[in-house]
Amino acid sequence: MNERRRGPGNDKGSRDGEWSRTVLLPPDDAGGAGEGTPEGPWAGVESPSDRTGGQKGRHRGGWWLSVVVPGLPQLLAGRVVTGGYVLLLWIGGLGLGALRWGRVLAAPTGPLEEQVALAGLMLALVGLWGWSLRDVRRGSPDPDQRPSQWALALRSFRRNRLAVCGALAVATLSLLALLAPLVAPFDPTLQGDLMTRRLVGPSPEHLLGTDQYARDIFSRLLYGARISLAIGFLAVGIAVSIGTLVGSVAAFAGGRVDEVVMRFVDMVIAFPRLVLLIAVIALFRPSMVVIVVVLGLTQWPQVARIVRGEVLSVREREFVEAARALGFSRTRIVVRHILPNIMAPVVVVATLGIGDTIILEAVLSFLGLGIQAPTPSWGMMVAEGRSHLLGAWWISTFSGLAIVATVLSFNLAGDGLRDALDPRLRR
Amino acid sequence: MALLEVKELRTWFEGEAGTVRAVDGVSFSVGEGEVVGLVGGSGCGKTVTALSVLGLVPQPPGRIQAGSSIRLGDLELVGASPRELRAVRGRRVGMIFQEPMSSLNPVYTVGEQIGESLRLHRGVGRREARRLCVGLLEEVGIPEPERRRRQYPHELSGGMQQRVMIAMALAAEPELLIADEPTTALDVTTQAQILALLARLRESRGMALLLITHDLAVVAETCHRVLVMHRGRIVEADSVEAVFHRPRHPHTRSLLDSLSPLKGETGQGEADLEGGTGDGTPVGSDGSGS
Amino acid sequence: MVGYIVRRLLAAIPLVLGVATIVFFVVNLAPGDPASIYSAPGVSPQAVEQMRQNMGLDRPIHERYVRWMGAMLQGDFGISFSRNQPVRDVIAQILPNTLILSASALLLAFGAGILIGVVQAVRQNTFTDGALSVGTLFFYSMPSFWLALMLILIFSLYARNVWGWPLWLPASGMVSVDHNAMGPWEQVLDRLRHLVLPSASLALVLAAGVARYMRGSMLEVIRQDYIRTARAKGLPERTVILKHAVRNALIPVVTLLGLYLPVLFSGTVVIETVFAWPGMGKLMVDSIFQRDYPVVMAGAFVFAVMVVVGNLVADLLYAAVDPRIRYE
Repeated sequence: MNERRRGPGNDKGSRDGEWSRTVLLPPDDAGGAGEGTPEGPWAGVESPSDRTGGQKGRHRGGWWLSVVVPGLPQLLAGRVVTGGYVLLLWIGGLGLGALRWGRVLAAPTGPLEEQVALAGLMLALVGLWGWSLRDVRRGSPDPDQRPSQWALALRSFRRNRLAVCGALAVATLSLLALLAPLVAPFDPTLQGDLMTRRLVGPSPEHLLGTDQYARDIFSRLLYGARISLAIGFLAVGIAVSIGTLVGSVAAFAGGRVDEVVMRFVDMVIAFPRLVLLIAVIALFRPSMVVIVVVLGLTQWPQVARIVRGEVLSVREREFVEAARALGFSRTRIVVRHILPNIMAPVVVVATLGIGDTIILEAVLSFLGLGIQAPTPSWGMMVAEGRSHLLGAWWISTFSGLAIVATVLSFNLAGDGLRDALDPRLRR
Repeated sequence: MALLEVKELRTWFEGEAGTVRAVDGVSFSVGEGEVVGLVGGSGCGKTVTALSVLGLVPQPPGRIQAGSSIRLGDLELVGASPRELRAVRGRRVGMIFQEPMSSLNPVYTVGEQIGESLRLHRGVGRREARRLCVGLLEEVGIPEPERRRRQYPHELSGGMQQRVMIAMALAAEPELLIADEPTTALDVTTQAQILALLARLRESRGMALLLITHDLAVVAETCHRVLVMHRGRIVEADSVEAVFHRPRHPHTRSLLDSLSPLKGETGQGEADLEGGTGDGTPVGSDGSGS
Repeated sequence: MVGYIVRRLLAAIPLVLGVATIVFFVVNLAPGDPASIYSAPGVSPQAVEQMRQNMGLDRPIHERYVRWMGAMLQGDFGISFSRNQPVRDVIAQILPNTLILSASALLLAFGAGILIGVVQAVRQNTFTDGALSVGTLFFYSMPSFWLALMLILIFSLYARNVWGWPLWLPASGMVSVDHNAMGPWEQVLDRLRHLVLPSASLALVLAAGVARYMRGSMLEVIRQDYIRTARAKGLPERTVILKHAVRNALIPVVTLLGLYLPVLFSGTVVIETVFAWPGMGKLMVDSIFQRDYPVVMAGAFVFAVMVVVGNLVADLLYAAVDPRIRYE
């Protein structure tokens, strides 16, 4: 919230390329603060709604509705995707609490993962409620206001239906993974009655059937999502950190350092990544840490290559020249002026990279080099279903579909981000 | 009888920001063997008018509105089938464009691209096409046609490329040649050569020429009649003499005004080159070429 | 031209040696003892130690590195621990299988991808385009091993056992058990039948990527002036697209070939394992699990060489499609 203290200067927020700092908040308007705006931290945020009296009518009377049913006012106002999604989450969340009331009550004294899940559920519900209330009171953004770069990108992203669906699917999947202990109808490692419950097809009791140890596929998939998403995010986090660092160092150092680093990068990119992954992981014995680290360490060169190119081009632009002319220190220029401007392509590469990483993790665990049994992971479940393909097609099919759906969501979101953020990356 | 008769042509573009009326009620005609200049500032609808004649306006977003009429002889082109349009394109109406470099396909040799037109419209075989192609290249003033034929567009200079474009457009001996800013992308010396070439070819082949340009100096030297376009409409249409000496529309006047300081310069260049007077002599009277 | 090829190959030497070095150290510094495969109840520790000496594992790592590198440069990759056969012979026997699989997958991927991309671009923003876009993104997001299993499920298991199609496709190996008893034409057909599913599993995922790229490239080309010229000539639309547009749109797609080779080879590792295809990928996986170091290191070297050669081919193809490029 400190941002708004920067005052009217925010209006020219895009100067110096510092657009990332003025993303979320509209420019402070001295006139807007006077008329009955609530005091407190939201004051700066609320101000635009006062200037757009006509827009407020969109949610007139929606305030009370929003207290009870978040998402409904937005839905009634014609924002089908946003409203519908919020409403679904709200109903789903409350329904979950009601259906699994016993488990929710037991959660605070249960194991850590159940406590985390409960906290996640609470946070999600409170967050939804708060967001909807705030959204109703704020009205829509002022169309006359000059939008920042990120706001423009957001607007173009929102217009892309598939991309929005992808992003919402990613959010839903992450939430489901977090809430797995509350959502899953069965314990994922619990083996049922092998005589009667083994290899049962999809049915009301076992939505997606059971596997050869009579374990519930749906529950296992929910827990598997945790592994896939965690590995995806962590490995890409590592790759992005190292890649950004190495890429910008190479670009700034130039000369010999640049050449050596980029040669190495070329070499790693040219080599079939899976061969390297299998070699390292098989030899060091698979574990979560090894898998995450190795996936990250084999991916950073791609990030480094992109970051280097971006830095080289951004460095030559006028605002950096200007900052240099003003005598700012090198560190300040890099941190405040250059890095924010290369974030757009990095965000895109990271989003698409998570999809790749999830596939690679699945391949590894398919080959028996992933997280070890009995912890469920999607690739391993596909492999387990392989010997029962003809008799119990659901094991491999649904596990694979989970992978495809997740990767597809990340790819849709990533494609949308690319189109929204950086036209140069379009292909 | 008029060769090309355009009546009430309206070509609009539907965009996110609304409809752009690029061409909005344009009527004119081009007689057989006549040279007509279509002048106007950039974005006034000249090129869209020319593309509409050949049905080359990308649609969507473009659309020729109902009530428009483009007649070539006694054939109505608005609403004609793709097959009918193809029979007109290249064969009866040839067209050359502003940027010769980007208008030639970079991956085929000059000979292949001219030969394609020859084989399509004259129904000749490969060998005959090759022979005719060399003749055409010679006619448009390209030295060593046999060698040039085998070269790719990027190996030729801008002026040379435009000559190739002209040769391609002439392959089927069209009745009308539409030249859309044929000299804008070229340097001054080459401009004069290309204009002289067009004039000579028009004379020798007796075809009509619709010359689109923003440069009144070019019109003054080449055309019989001038059409001045402004914001999608024709605001003035008369003989070259009349338009230059008694402009009626304010836009024409401003075009003329903007011309004056440049006129001498351009005239100079051509005068040197052609050894002539360089003032507004109409086409055909001299066609020394290169 | 020849000079260019030679210079390119010379420039690739550091890359190949670098890859070989990285793999050497990864393999040799990893925990685990290859000689342990000989240790079984009843084998004396002295005998295992003797095997370690035979394999040269008792020497310090830098010495092993220098000796291995020196031998490799002379074309000697050592002897496979698990097969007791010179590594060179093992690879020579198996490499063609991988080449057949990769080449057919590559052809299929680029053929199908280019076709889909062209159709999409020509029908831009229609239902066909949208459906194909979603379809290609779906395949693009698919792990190839799962696609392989699904193809096996449908075209092999169900087709043969449940629906009783006469044209079911085999799901493992390169040839049938009774291959040797077949006539020459049947043998060819048998090989082709075995090739269909593995190369389709590999190709479809790649084809989706090619199609996405080709669509963009075509859309870019269709807006160019020379396409308008081709239309102004009076050429039929089919000729405009197939002759003038596609040839130009292919130029950037050729660079994709070089980029996709590592991806393709990564794919063969999984697909060969799924289909029990006796190729380099399966050999690598098996050797890694058996800690057959010489084979792993030689295999990595061969993969690196294949990528380098593939990239060179891509560059030469690039010059073939784009007359503006000339290599001196």
